[in-house]
Amino acid sequence: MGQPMIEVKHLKKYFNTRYGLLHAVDDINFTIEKGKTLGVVGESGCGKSTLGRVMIRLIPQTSGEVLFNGENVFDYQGEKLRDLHNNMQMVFQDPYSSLDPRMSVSQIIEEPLTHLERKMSAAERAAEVRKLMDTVGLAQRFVNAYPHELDGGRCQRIGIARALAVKPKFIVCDEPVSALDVSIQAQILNLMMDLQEEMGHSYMFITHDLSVVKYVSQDIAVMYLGQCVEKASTEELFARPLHPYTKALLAAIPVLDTSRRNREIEIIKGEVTSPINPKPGCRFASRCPYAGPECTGENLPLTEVSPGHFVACAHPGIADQK
Amino acid sequence: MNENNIVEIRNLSVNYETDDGTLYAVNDINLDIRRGEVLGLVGETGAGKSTTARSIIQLLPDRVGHMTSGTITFEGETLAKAENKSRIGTFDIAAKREKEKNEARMRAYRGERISMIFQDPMSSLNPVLTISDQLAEVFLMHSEERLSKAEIDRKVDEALRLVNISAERKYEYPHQFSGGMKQRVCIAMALACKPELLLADEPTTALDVTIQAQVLQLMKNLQKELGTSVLLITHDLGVVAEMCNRVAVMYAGEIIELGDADDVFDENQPHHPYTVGLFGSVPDLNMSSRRLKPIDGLMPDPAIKLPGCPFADRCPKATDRCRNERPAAYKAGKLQLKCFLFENEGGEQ
Amino acid sequence: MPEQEIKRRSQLSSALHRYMKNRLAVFGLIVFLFLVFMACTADVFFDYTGQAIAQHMKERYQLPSRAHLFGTDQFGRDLFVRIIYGARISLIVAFSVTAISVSLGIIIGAFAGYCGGKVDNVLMRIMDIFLAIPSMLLAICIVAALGGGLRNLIIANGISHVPRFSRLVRSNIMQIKNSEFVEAARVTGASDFDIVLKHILPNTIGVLIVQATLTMAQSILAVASLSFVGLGIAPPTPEWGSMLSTGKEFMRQYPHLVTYPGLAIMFAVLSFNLMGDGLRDALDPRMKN
Repeated sequence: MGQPMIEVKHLKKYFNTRYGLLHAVDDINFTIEKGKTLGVVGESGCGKSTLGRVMIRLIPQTSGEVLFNGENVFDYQGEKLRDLHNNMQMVFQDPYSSLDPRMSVSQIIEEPLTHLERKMSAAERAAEVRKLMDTVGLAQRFVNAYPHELDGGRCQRIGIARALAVKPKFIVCDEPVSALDVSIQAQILNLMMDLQEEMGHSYMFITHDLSVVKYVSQDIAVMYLGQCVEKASTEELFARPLHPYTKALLAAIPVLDTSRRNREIEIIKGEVTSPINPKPGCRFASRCPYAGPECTGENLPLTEVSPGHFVACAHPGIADQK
Repeated sequence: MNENNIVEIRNLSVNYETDDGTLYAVNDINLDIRRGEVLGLVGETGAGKSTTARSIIQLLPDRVGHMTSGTITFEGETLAKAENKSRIGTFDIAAKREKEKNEARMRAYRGERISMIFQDPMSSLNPVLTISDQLAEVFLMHSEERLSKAEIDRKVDEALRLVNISAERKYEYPHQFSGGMKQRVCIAMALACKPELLLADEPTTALDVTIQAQVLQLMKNLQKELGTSVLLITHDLGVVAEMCNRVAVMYAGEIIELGDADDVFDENQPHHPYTVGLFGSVPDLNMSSRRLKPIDGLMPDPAIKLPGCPFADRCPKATDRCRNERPAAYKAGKLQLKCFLFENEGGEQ
Repeated sequence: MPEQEIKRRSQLSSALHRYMKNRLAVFGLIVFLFLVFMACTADVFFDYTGQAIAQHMKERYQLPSRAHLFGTDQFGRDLFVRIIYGARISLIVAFSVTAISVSLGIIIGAFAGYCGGKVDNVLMRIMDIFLAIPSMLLAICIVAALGGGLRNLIIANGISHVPRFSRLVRSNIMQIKNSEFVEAARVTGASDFDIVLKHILPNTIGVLIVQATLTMAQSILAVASLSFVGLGIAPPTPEWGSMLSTGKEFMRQYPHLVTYPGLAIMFAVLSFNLMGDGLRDALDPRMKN
């Protein structure tokens, strides 16, 4: 088995703002194996999108390492840097705004080939584009169509084809189905899982939707305000969520069960606190019904409470005891 | 008119006349909203749900949106009737006057008897006015006597209290509020005059799931307290399960399934093939199958008026008759289904 | 299972389609095309030296008639012919001024918008200096320094329009460079240069075209105005503004000497403005529905 394909170590990204230092990504650690999917879950403002972009060097990191097959991606220079995206690609959230409205479908899918596969001739590229369209289920007759003529599902397929063009080993998927209708979501999710089986790449699947992430991921990391609060295999996380935030997140999801209609929905009180100059300690403490003084003293590290199950909490599992 | 219904929609059809042609957004629907209930209107993008709501409150886009057939009554009064011509001639004074009268009446009703909240709270709030000013505006527009400043302040505070926002924040601006709080302000504005009907168009779609839970709980409480009838538009079946008494499922401008929420979610009831497909597409926490079962294909192009059932192209059970003849709404089990599969069960509705 | 045929229309052709539905815009286009046609083919129908320049003192001050459609001026020259040749000058000015200001504007605006920071600051402050000077005054100064004549007129006007274009390009670039498809382009391996050339500029063209038509209208007016006060094109070259200037003395007895040049200016400027409006509406799909 050897080393995992992706290793993230103490990754931090801070932004300088007028009001202070914004801790967007704060000391994140995880690994992703070849051919597997890590789900990164959290609500808006938790830093998951920033995390994805820092990992593929769209945004510069503040500190930390991202190892791809043992080599730190942030150390890449020159030729190696130019070829970074041969191995690491991204699928974006909004199917329309991630496609240049003035380019046709084939031009969009061809672009990575033009820049990153310099040995291909124009004819070879065109053939590859058609093959990719087949792979993602886009009818050949759309080859000269424009994004605004197509629906969201088809546009997202274009985005996926574009990401697959260079046969990357690792794809960051930033909320790839959140903007799509439910029945189209299902089509795209199935497509992405089939592609993974066929081509063997790894995904980092960023989403706020826990029910979606359950389908596609083997492991899940839960983020809150830049920190990872819980990390475990999918089965373990859903069976035994330990962090109060994870529990609250699971409880907040509306379930297809009409018997819940007459019961109170469990809610977390209050609002997300500011990620600017945060105080040390657990950032969920101000909203946590079980918080105590030990939660806000020092930063709580991610500790392994059972094999493969990590929590950053002073009282993991406390919600179950009450 | 049934005494239990606050709104009755009969044979409603709505078209959009765009530069690229006519779009058939809503095709001949019948729907009742009962007093005090929460009716869910479920469907995907382009199904016609927003169009239906905007027809009730008469906020279809100017010049482009037209009710081509049907009537909508509110508390027995005819709110809207289809126009005979899509454009009123310049010299048709009687028709123009009629239109102005209707518009004047709708202006009086909006905010006071029928309210609407939308998906994106940022667009509904004026960025240059304080929250207090915007709430005050609602009261000023709909009160008959002159209100003193102190009275308005009191009403504003009361409205904010109803949605769990502290009164100290009323002099802030919308951009200083989070998404969830903005939506709560919109709810406060919509319910300020205690309307009889609230139209909620995807009110929590743009919110985080934990904030969505807060807002939904709030809406549940207020609805119970004020007895408002609610038309809740959403594409999220989970939200429907949590909030709605009855459900109408829309597809390509038609209501293809209608009934009590308990029955629509009951696997043992007969269902429209689209509903089956919809439930099969949703990754649910409690379902354990490894693979989702999406519906193949896409919703039909609204520019084309199909002769038969709009779902025929994607339906695993479609026959030639389905493609050429439009099914009526039949009663099957406890539900109303627009599908020939159920033609012989309970007869037409 | 038949899927509907998708209309294979690029954004450009749907814009064209929308444009053609706007009657005023089409009118502007027709007038414009007529002017261009006339300017190009004038020599085929008329004799420049014989009819537009040479003086025929026996035929002066003639009112419009079959022989002379718009009458004759104080030197007996056919006014219609002079106006046609005047169109040539106006259009040359319009196109040249626009070409200069667009190209300089794109370069400056692109650097300012894409680089940001100090580069942006310096370039924009220089543009501000030019904006602070009224364009007419600026043109007069340049002409006064370099002398009159067509070339200097074009330079003067061209420079005065550069700030507007550079601002337009700059703000467009700043808006687009943060959009998701530019991020996506970076992930496909595109260099900064590729991004500006292939992604940002094509999306800016719409706004540029609209401003270009307006600049053309303004430059026609500017040249006419300068010629009117004697700083532009010198007689006997036919130019609408100078024709107005010389004709104004005889306005009372022979109004045709000012009416026709004035109408020519009006229609030319109007057509460009209508085209600009039509293009703006056609290129912005959110305007409709």
